[in-house]
Amino acid sequence: MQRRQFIWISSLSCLAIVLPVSSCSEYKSELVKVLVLPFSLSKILNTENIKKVGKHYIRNIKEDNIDKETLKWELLSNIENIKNSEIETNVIDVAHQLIEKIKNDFKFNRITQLDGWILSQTEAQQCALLYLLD
Amino acid sequence: MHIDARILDNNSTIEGDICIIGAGVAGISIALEWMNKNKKVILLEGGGFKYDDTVQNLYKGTLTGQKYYPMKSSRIHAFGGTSSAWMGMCSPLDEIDFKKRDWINNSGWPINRKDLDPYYKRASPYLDLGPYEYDVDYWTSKDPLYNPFQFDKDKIWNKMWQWSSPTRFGIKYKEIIINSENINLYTYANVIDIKANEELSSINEVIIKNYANKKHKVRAKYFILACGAIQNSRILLASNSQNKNGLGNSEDLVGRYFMEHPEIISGEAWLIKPHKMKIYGIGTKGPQFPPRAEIAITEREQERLQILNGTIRLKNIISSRYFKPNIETWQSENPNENIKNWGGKNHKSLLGKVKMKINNLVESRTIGIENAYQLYIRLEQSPNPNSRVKLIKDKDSLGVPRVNLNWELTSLEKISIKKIIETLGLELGSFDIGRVNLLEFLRNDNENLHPDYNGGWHQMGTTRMHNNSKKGVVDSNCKVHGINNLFIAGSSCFPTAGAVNPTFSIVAISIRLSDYIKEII
Repeated sequence: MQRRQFIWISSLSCLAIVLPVSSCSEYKSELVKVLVLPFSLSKILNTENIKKVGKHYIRNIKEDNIDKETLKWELLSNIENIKNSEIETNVIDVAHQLIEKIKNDFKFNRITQLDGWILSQTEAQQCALLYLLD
Repeated sequence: MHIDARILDNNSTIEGDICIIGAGVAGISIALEWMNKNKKVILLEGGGFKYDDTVQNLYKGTLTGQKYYPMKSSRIHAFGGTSSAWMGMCSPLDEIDFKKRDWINNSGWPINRKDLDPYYKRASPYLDLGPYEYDVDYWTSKDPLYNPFQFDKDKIWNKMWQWSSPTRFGIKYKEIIINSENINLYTYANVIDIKANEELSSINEVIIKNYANKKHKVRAKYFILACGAIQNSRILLASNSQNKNGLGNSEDLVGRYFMEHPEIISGEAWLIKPHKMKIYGIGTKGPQFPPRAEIAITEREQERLQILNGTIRLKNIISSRYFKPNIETWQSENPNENIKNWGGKNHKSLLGKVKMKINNLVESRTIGIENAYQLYIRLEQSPNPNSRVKLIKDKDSLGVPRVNLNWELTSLEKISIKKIIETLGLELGSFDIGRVNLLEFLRNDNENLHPDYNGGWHQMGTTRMHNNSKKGVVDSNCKVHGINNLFIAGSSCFPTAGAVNPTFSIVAISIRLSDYIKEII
């Protein structure tokens, strides 16, 4: 196993520990764990505060029908070069692409301010998804 | 030579070639430039060598507008001036500070940064600074622990400061001045009036007075006002026996465009991983700190965003969070009491510190506070004619009208602070270095609702420089328009404030003025 893969899988494992125990079966999906983990932001904010940010995001957007599936779809719509059928097995690539997307969000001013935090749109959506899933 | 004006025979006449009014940083710098020249220099200081509350009381006044430090204690009325209390931070004004900027009313100097560079270099030894080097690459080459953030160079740069020891002019230069043969220092020599000729085109003499009730005349070929922004304008306005508007004030500009540096904690930066922060002053100790960087916005980005100049100083959250702002603690009329309460005593009690430690542990954020920093912004103030010093009816014990200071800001200050912090947030995010959180006062859209800012005790702008006599009080040589032998030294001449502590620029401009007088005398 390559070192980078080891680090990623370890990180995902840690996420399994820090996420609140839930009977929701969606948490068991590795893909969902990646989608609800804003990788860099989670080093600054704990789960409680990530959900708080997510709650602000839901309140601020004007769409009436925002739900888990819509957010998942929006996050996954940014993923390139991976077939839908293979996404669940290419979680590490998905995570990498999300990180790059977040950096580009900042670079191209696709940002939002939630509870004072200046955040990427993508990571704000991730926070919102975590809030909705809980 | 030193003479105490309290013991002179009443109604003495003092004569010289040059009369420097005020022995603070500007006045002493000019006097030092004239040492051992074959001209007699009169240096007038209203106070003595030590703090004297009776003299300090002459500075009392009233305040309106933004909350500010008490007039009596916001500057020191003694030999050496406010250098007896300053922290020592030095950096030159940026090139953009001198430029006319379409988005900032009344911006632009009649000189540019290159005109001042040789004088900054000459000012450096007066302030016990290192080499005249303010490029971050120079300093990072000197210290391997200096590791500045690498941002998009089109948006953000690292601006360097050096620290003076801090030089106390009243201590370092006292013996030199007193022992100089051609510099005649008069203490307890408060200028209460300036007398011009009938046409008001030339100054004949100034009248000095002290609380021993002694009054004297001082005559010279050239006069240089060097008392600081508030007092310079006060003296000109109060010298109104020949013209009710005072001297140099045909366009009603004297006292206007008072500028300070609005300074305030504006946000927090939380880094994703540790970063060596020595270059930003974290973990370094004084009193003479090593050179330090602050985060600054490029010219190009300031123009794109249409904002004022400003810099961000990073302060460790743990040590800074429980310090009270200066504007809260520096509220005594006695500057010595303020100095005692500042720094180490400027924080909550020991119990408060313990509570803070406990709070940090149970805070709902991820542990990582050791990599979190407060963002302390120092902002240029937009030149505003309504921000001003003017006379009031109340007079001091020498019979000189006191002044009211109305410190007034515009919406551009708050807009600029928000955009500067947002720019940093974008850069930290795009390089995946960290995230920024805006403080509460920046989260609302009311651009005219200002919090209580700290000032930096940086008083500027009240006799601004412009070659057009309708737009300035002094010309590019600091000569008062219309008066051929009256000059003004110091920060009252600044048309814009920049985002730097003004002392370095004050000394540079004073030396430049001194050189000009040497050419014409």
